[in-house]
Amino acid sequence: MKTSFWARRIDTPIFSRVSLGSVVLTLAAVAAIFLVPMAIDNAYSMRIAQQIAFYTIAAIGLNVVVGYQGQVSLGHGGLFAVGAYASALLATQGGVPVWIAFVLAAGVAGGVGALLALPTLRAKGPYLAMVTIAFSIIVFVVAQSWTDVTRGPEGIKNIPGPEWFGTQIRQLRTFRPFGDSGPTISGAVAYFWIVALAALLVQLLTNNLLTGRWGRTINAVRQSEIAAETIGVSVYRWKVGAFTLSAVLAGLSGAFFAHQDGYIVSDTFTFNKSVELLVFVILGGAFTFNKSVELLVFVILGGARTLFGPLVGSTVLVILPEFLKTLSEYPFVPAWAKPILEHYLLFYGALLILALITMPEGIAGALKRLPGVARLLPSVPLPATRAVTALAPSELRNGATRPILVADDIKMYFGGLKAVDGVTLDVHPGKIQGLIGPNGSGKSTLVNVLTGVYRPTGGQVRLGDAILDNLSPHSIAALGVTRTFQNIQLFKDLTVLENVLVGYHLRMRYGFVDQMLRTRRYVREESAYRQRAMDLLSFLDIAHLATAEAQSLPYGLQRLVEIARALALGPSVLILDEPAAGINASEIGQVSEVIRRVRDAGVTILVIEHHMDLVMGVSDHVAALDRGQKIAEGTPAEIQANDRVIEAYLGDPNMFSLSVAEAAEVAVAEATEEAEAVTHAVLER
Amino acid sequence: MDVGELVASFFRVLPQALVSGLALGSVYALIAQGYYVTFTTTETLNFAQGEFLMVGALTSFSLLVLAGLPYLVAVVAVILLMVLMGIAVERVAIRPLRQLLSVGWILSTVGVSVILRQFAEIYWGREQKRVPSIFGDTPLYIANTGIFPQELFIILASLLTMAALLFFLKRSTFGKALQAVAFNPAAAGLMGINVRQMVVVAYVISSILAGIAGVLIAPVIFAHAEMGALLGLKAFAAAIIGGIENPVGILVVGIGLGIAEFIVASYNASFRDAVTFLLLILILAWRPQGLFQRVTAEKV
Repeated sequence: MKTSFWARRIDTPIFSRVSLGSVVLTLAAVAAIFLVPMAIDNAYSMRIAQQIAFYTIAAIGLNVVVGYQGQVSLGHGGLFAVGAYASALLATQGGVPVWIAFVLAAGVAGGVGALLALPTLRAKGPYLAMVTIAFSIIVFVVAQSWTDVTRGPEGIKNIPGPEWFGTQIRQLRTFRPFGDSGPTISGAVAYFWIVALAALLVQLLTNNLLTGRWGRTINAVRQSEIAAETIGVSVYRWKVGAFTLSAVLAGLSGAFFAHQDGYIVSDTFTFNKSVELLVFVILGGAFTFNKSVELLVFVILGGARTLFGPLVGSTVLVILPEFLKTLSEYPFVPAWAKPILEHYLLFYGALLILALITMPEGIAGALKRLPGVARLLPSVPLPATRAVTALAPSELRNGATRPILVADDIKMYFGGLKAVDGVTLDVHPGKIQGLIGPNGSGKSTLVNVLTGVYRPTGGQVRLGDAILDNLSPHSIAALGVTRTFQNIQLFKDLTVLENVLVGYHLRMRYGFVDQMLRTRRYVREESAYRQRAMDLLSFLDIAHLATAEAQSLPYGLQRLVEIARALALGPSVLILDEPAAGINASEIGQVSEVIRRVRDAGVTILVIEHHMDLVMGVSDHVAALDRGQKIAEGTPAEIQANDRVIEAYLGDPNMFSLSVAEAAEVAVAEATEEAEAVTHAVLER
Repeated sequence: MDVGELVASFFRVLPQALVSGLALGSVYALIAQGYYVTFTTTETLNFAQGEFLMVGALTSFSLLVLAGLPYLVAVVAVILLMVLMGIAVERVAIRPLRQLLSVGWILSTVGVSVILRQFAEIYWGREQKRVPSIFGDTPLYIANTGIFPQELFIILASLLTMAALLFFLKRSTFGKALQAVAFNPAAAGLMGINVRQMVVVAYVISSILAGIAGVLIAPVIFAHAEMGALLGLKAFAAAIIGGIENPVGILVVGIGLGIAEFIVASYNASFRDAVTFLLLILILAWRPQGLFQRVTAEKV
């Protein structure tokens, strides 16, 4: 795709490598924020404009959690209330200047958000949704009943506005912001300027964050927590971090709300507030994830690769109730319809369901799909494709001292079931170790123990001198042991290149601030790692797929992408869990070739496999499991000739010559039999 | 207040809390059985369950008070309405979204709850409706503890309903098919069980339970548009504390929560609602999958 004029990238004094379109748009937005209200200066429109601005801030934050990170929070109304009360109390009781109260309130809400997230974010789906509902109800009860502090339904009155050179900015006051000779504006306009500029800043910084490593990582966590862990992402920490960030923004939004009218009452913060915020995000396009959602205007000018769903949603939904109110005053509206129009939440609810069903990517996402729009979106240029036949030394960790991975007398019991019962296995550096065994022999369980997914009932896992068996998967990944999965666990919505980039998570050094501000360090490192990721893909002969969406690829290629992502970690040991499962015969050749090539690059490999051609072809050494115990070990030839292996695992020596299709048939037949047995058991109970 | 006084006051409030708590708690349990039925079959549940209860309660107001219909007719009408609403919620909010997003159904059923609340405000108004009990409002006194006949009726009727539900699930072929779907939808499908239909049935059962709970509780706590949210949520707390796959656990915990709430309320009325939710957050912090839920290792 040809890069359009507006998508060209330039360096600005603040942000590096931003597209020309986004610079122009940002300047246009600033100009519009300042000029448009001066033209239409009336208190009613300004109030609505202020609301759009501060709800956008909250919605952007909620979008991080719901849209990117995939957790439902119905507690953000509570965090919004915490921000509102914190700011109001600091300004009225604490005598804190309002500007500082804004910042402190955001911090307080962030703190409360973190306190809520720390114990509860291990819960998922409906559990988390319920916890967050409970939180917003508790906040409401506290606001309602702790009257000594919150004044309850009576409300906190006379909350001061922020000061502009000693003059308070209030809705009804007029003043001259640019000196005595400048224009006269109302306090409503001035307050809008403050809130809108804050919203713009939040939008820009969050956009930067979501398009860099931070955004990639929370995207990855949403799509596969376990895969994210095995390439070194501490899923829990990232979830808490994302939730805290969104709490900060909810709090800031609430603070702006509190100082808007200078009056807050507890009745404002019912549970409905949380639902409202959620609808803003959904309708605006929370589910437009990584493919980026661009607001129509930004899209047309080819602006930044950003997410403007929250802005669209807040705008539409703040205006909607006002529109309905106006509508109900027209004579053609029948009397029975008037009470319906007053209940704008009814429309929110209906829009929520409608949007979820008909346009899961929201308005902004739908706009993006308009013909011709995609061409205008900026895209980061693809790194050059180079012929790569060997892995660069920088891709491998631990250099020459490659440690041995030892499973020492591993036991893994599930209740009475001894899935693995005292297996000892040495995986020697620089070799390919094969592991075979019939269904249920404990192979996958052993892999899960080695990679920290399960904590073993007994025994020890060591990598050199390091003991692994009490570590979490991400810590084990940090030490250099990673894996692929039997049921492929790619980050489906990300491109192939982005999948590999997530694999570099632990190696990238630029931080939170670097990304938000698009520093040169961020730009340098990001482009360097994009090139490295590209080279890694070239090494596996899949560079031509770099921009493909991972889920669009055939199974065999997905396996290779998974291997590329694992290699990005720079593993000393790579564990391949059934790399040939579900792929065709020609792809098996390709996978075998890749496994050898990775070994030759100096990575130790443990390959768990059913497919005999593959495992016997590539392995330097093979171990066989049966019923949780190791029954044989040796060279491929020795194993093939071993009586116990033939008897226990193969039953029929002809199994060696079964084609993939035949093996698949056997597997399907087994699965069906198993399923039928289970169903019968239930029905007869 | 010294310890002796505290203990004395505790025993003063206990009998009344036991009686009223038992009634309220059995309603929680009844609602929560609805979560159990849909969650085990589909791993989804209706976040509008409380609002279904509210619609049931307000409908019973319309039929009993406004239309003056006999009690049994009203109950049957509410159940029929719930059947329709159960089918509708599955069709609109669950089926289209189960595959799409893991959280889509949560959002859509929350949307349903918002719509129902607003609809109720429009149709029935904001004010609280008094639904008279068919057993009258004269409390019976047993050893100085007052109990309304309606409370006794609630306890009896919800226990019977739950017994019938469990009997249906464990004994009938239909119930077994439902359990088979819960255990393994793919295998159940292979066995010729119509999985889709079972999901609808689960939602219908869940809705009927909410409707019955609404009819039962309306004479005790006034019916109004906002009544459902808290009841639905507390029932969910009962479900996860008791174990969402364990109907007996749900019953025990539901009743326990009802009693605990009345004990707390007799000391500080405004803290009454907060206590359940604090408990909910603490328990989920400790056991993210609920107290009695098996910790299922994700197969990878």
